[in-house]
Amino acid sequence: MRVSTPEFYQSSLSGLLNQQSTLNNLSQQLSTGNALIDPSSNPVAYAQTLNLSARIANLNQYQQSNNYAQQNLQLSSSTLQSVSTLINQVQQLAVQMNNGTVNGNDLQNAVTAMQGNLQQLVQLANTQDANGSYIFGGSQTNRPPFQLQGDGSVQYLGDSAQKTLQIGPGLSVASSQAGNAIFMNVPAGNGTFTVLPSGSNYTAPSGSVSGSVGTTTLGPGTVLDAQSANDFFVAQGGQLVVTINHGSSGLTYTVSSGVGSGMASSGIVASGVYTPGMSISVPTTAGGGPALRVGAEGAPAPGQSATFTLQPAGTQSIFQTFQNLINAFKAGSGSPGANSQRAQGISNALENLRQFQTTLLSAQATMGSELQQAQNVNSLNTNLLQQFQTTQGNLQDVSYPQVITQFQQSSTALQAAQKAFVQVQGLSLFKYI
Amino acid sequence: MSGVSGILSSALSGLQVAQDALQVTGNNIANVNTPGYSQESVVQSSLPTTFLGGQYYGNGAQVSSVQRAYSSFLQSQVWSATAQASGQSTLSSSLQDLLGTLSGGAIASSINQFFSGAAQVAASPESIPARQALLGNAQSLSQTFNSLAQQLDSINAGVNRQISQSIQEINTLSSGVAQLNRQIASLQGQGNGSPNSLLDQRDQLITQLNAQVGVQVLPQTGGQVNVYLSNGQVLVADGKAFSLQAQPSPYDGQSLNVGYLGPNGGSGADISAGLSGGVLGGLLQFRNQSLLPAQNGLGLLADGLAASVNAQQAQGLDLTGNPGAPLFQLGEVQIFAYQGNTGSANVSGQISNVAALTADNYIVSYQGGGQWSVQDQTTGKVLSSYSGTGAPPSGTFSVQSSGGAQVLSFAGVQLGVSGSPANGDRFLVEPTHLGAVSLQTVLSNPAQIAAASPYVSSPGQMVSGTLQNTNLGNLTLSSGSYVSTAPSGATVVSGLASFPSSLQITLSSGGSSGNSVSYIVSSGSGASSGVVATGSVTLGGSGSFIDIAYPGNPGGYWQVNLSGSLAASGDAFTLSPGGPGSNGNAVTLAALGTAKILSNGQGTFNDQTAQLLTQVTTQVQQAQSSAQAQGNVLSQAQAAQQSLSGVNLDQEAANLIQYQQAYQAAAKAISVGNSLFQSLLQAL
Repeated sequence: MRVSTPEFYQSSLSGLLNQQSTLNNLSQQLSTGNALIDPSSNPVAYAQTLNLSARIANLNQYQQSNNYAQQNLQLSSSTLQSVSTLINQVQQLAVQMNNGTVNGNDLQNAVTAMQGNLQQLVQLANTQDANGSYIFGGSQTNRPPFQLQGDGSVQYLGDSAQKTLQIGPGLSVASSQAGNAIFMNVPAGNGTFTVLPSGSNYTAPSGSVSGSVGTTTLGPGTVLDAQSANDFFVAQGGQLVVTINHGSSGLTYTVSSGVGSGMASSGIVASGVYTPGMSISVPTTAGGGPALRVGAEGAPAPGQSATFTLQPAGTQSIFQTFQNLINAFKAGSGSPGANSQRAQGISNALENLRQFQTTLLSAQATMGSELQQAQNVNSLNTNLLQQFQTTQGNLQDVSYPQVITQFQQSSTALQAAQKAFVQVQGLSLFKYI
Repeated sequence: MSGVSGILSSALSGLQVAQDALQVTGNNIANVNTPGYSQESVVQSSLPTTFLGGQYYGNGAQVSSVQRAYSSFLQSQVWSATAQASGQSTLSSSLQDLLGTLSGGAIASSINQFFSGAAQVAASPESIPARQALLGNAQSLSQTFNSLAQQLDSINAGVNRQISQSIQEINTLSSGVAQLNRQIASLQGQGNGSPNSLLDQRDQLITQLNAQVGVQVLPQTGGQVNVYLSNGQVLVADGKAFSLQAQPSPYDGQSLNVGYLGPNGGSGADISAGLSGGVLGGLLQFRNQSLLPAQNGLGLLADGLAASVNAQQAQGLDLTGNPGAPLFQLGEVQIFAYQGNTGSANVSGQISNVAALTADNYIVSYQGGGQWSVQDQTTGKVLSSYSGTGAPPSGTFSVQSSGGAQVLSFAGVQLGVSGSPANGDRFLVEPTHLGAVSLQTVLSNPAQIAAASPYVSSPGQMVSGTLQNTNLGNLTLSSGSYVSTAPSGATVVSGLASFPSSLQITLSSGGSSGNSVSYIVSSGSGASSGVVATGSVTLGGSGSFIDIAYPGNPGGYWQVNLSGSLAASGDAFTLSPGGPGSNGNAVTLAALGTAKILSNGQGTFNDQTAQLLTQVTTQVQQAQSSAQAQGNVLSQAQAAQQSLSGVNLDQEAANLIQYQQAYQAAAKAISVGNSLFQSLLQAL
């Protein structure tokens, strides 16, 4: 084909310029190490890296929340461990004091020890994290949630909010437990009912022979038929009164049932001969099947009777249990009546401590499993993160051997084109005329 | 003529022809680099012969014409290839600008940082530094959107400038073509030669015209040509040129369109839609298919994010216990009235539902009698009318009357019409165009970030600030969540004097599994003071929903569930406002980062970002490869055309020698003739 002279220059020039542009792109890739320096060179890979970046950012966010959750859970867990240790000490002390041989001094020391324990427990319940937040206050984290009052009772100023954190897509862990669920809402008694002794059980009635007081203790009792027991105590608001009478014809017991504080529609649901150490089976209605059973020890003094009220359990704070124990220790020692009264108080308190240990264990188990989950998710996400980063690297990192080879090829081609251009443009007929 | 004088006259004509040919060759050499120049050659023929003595004797040669090497087919191929190549290369380089701006804009990382900040607040909601950091992230997010949108605006301003320049160029070129038409027509009649250089010049001007906008050329009688735009409008008719002008769009004065000043001048019909090819075609294509969608897409992302975050803020409580204030201020819905509107209607709009929001622009026009029609300007689709209640489904619009004014709803926006529109009045609605450029972070106090849930559910009663639990049953009150509508059968609490105020739920009867027990929701202390609702729950079942209405916009409910199997009369639950340690709302806020919110619940914010970028990336790739392909087509066409019409210096060198020798030979013939005369004269 005939080639016009300007066309020859034009096409040679555009060839050279194209080669230079290719070389420029390759050298940019080499100097930045980024193969997607021009995203339009590979839109599909670019879209994938965008997607991966978003997922990596999400994972990092989850990991960050995960670390917070683990820290929170570890702090709560170790605090509850300390509480558990304290409760063990208190249980031992209570068992030691539940003994006829302890004297007033021992009890006085025990009271002091218990007051210290109470303060320590309040302190533990008011634990703060690194940010100064009270970890057992629910959502009220900026003030101590547990306030020890002058009368030894403790008020809860928090609420039941639990802090949950998202550690994966649709995956949350509760990183805190509300203080009232752990310390305040402990099931009282055996969880269904509590045994409340009448104050006159352990004192001699006026006019009786001095020293002749009863030694009856009752409970804590077990539930045989949970449904009818719950129905009676909770749904109907019922109560049972167990009376053990030491009359002229010997020891007898009667159990009457009623609803409300005035024991309206009270009626006797069980009665019989009483033998110290026996268990009394109680139906909630006359002639019904036994719903619960309580063990009784000791007996009232002749001519006297002992009365116990079985009430719906409800909840009792662990602080109240401590206070009850202090009150039981304060009841004194020496007389059989005082010992029995103390024994009844300690028996009730031990039952409450046992309930609290259960609460504590289940709270710790819950936190433990949350922690376990957080750790599992953490290591899973770490692997995923690594995988995503590797994939992203594969997509956008320069393959040096490949790019260097291309670079060499292009620069050789450019040199060749330059040389050819110079040689060809020197060929002109005008040189020879 | 014959004999010696015949020799002389023949040689003289040869001398003349050789001299003319040398002049043409010299002209070719001189114009070797003149753009558009076609190489010329002398067409030579012999002079009529003389019949003498039974024989025909030649009388020498003559130049019958000077021709240019030209093919109209090859030339028109160069023209159309020029229009395509120039259009694609303009598009490609404009897209490169756009991609450079967007891919370097760090939208994705600012969005991720913002939600990561929200997760930190969720982890320690009471921490002021964490809240401050989130505010900082919000600030940098809105600034990122602003600066990106401003860069896109400046690209748009550049497009406007280039459009004006290109139109000026087109006007100059078309009047040049018209002038050459006139000159050619006047010269065409003289002699039998053709005005080669004028024709070359006109071809070259048309090539340049094609580089600005694609045109069609139709030859006319008398050597003139008519030039038409790709939509059929006449640009040059014989000796007359018609102008284009850069004029504001009939809606939006900021955007320049192409107006056509026809034979009568004046009006300036908008012909932007019909143009293709050349710089102008490339720019218009870039603006409509890439820049505007990118601006709107960015705005959609900004609007969607800001509206969702604001809605989440409104669902929670800040550190001071007040409902959250908006964190962002959204860009407004941009509405332009058509310049020819005759009514007095004023239309204002707001975004009502980010899920239904699109990146398209819409034209709403009044049909008279309270009727409107809505057209998606981007896709050209006409929306159908929806008369049901609630938000109109995708692809439909609804018109409702509220307080005497009409309210139009479609695609996640609500338009309020005030005043009275005239029949045929039109408005351009750009829901998301200002979304990114006007996005602002308006919250400055870190305590105002609403991290807390409005309510915390606790068992027991709140007695002068302390929580006391004497519950006997096993009922629980769930921690609650936000719902937009209350389920049927729920106990709805609304019209609270203040929100959120503490509520107490107290059972007024006891029971066990299977029983239905009633409860009272009260706002005062205790069960009986300030009763706001009553309800009942069937024990042992799925429980009873209690929905507390949020006041004002956007409404919705905080929903808790009371359930269990054993209840005692007097059992109570407290709903107290979330305190500083409550993180419920912050967790939901952080989860917005991965929530499918946009495009009717199909896309996350990251999806939208990626879509925005990959769309432009793909367009760049297409434009690049198409520009390269068109460039190759142009090179081919030029090579073919140059192969015929271009000057080759070697060829001219050969011609020089050829014609020089012819000239020398003719001179020699004259010298021979001369010596013949001399011999004859000496003989006398």
